Amino acid sequence: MKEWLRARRAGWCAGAIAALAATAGLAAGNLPSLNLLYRNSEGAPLRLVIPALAATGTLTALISPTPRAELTSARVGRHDAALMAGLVGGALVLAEGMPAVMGTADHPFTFTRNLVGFFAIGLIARSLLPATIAALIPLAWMIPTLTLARPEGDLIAWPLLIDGADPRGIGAAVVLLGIGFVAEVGWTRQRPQRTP
Amino acid sequence: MISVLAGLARWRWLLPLNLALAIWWALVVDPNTIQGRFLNAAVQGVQVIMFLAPATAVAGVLAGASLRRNAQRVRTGSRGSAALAASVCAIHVVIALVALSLSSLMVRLSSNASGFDGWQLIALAGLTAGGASAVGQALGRGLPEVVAAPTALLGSYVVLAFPRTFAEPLWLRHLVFVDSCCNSTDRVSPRVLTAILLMAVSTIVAGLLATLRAGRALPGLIGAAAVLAVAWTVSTGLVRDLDWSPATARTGDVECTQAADGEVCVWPENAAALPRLADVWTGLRETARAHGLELPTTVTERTGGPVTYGDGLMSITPQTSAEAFPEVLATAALPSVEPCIVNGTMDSRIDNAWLTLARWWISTSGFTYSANLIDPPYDYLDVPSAELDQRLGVLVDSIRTCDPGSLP
Repeated sequence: MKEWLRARRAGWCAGAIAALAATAGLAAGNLPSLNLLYRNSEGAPLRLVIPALAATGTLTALISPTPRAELTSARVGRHDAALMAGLVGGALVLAEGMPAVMGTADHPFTFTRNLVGFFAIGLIARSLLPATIAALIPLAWMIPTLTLARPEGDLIAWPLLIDGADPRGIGAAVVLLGIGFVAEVGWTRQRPQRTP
Repeated sequence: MISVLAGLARWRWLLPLNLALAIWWALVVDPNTIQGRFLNAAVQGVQVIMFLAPATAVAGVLAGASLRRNAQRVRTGSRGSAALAASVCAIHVVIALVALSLSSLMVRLSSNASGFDGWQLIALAGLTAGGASAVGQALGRGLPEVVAAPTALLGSYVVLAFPRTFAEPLWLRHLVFVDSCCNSTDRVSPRVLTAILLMAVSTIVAGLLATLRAGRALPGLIGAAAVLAVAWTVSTGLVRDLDWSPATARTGDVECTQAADGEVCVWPENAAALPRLADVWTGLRETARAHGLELPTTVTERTGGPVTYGDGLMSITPQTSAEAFPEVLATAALPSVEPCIVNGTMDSRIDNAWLTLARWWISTSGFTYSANLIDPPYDYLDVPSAELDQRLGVLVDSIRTCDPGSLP
């Protein structure tokens, strides 16, 4: 198990995700960014942007260093599931728990919504693209969102919705997660991992 | 060899992705912002570099990772790894140039723009993509792929997007690409173009130096840092005194037509309006001559210096309505009130004199003016007809000298 975790770079990924989640939990303010369509540079709260990085980190930990071995009987699905749940769960506890304990929660549950949504986008991408590229898709998704979307967010730009209880954002994340789960279990895990 | 290099550059997905992004971006751009000029189409079209550069950087990482994996084979081959990296970078530049040209030309077509005066921006954006490729390759050679790819993706986006969000220093935005420019009286400052060129080329050179291995890694990194430092110093020196705008006064040839005792001259993209402008200017000049008004006989869009309006200088766009021409031409020919503004304020009598003159001139010539020319509170022309010409001269002189003392 130790070797398996090391091969998956689990330690590095967990460390990076913990640092990102802690930053999201503690840091207030916006990540400035240029919106080309609406010509403003206010950007979006860090708490809404960091989940894209955390999702990339989690998807990176799912990349097998030996793609062909993924098809052998040695493949253990529950290990992948446990690693995935551990990284996502840990990030959520840190990012949502720290501000709740400190009483500084600005936009509660937006980190959860965005991490779930971005991670699901990555799972969908894993069924279509090589695993290394798929891990970049949440990050790549955030670029047009910050660059083109309405600054206050809408259904298409659900990661920018400030209200964590907004049903459009929750709906988008849940639907993406459903599709991502089906894609991962029904397609990605039935085939050898592709390399770029 | 070409096919090997193209495969290494990941052209199979990079080219379609770049083309798709270029087409999509050209459809997103509002053609009404182009003002009939290819420069503006290019400014809008090349903004897709915000998406092309991260994609190119990732392709560069994958190429760099492939070169690292195959280092032994490459070492025994006929071509050095640095040459391979440079070749991949060149392929990425070509792919980016194709996409950037497509995007700009689509915007040009959709907005009926003319000319090709913005081609430099396309070339510079292509080099910027080359810089992303070179840095991506350096990262791909030096770091694990799963670390290098997100770093390159995010880094290239940050470099392009963040400088424009900083309130200070404003000149920082002029080092990567032009995101807003130009009115019809402007062009992109050559200093900005040179600064972008220096930064893009130095990034390519630094990225390629950083890919060096086999005992040359440290000198390569030192060389990369030195190249970037020199380019940064020179580039920032070029743009340090600029504010948010990369524009400077436009140069080049205007198209002119004879009208009355003078000429009307416009930039090429407005040439279609010349016959109507000439008709209106003829009417306005006849009135001016009949009343002895000493005003410019020629109105032109060519400023040749700091942009001001009045005193013979004007500005239109292909979207300017023909109904607005009398107002545009009268505004151009009357003395500018701008020199009369001191500390943001101006004597209201000067303003009233200007409004009185403009309204009188346009209506006496048989044209109509818009609601922008508001009715002034004083009627400076309420004089016997024999004194009208003298009073008109007083108004003109008062505006020209910014001296309202002689006004009633």
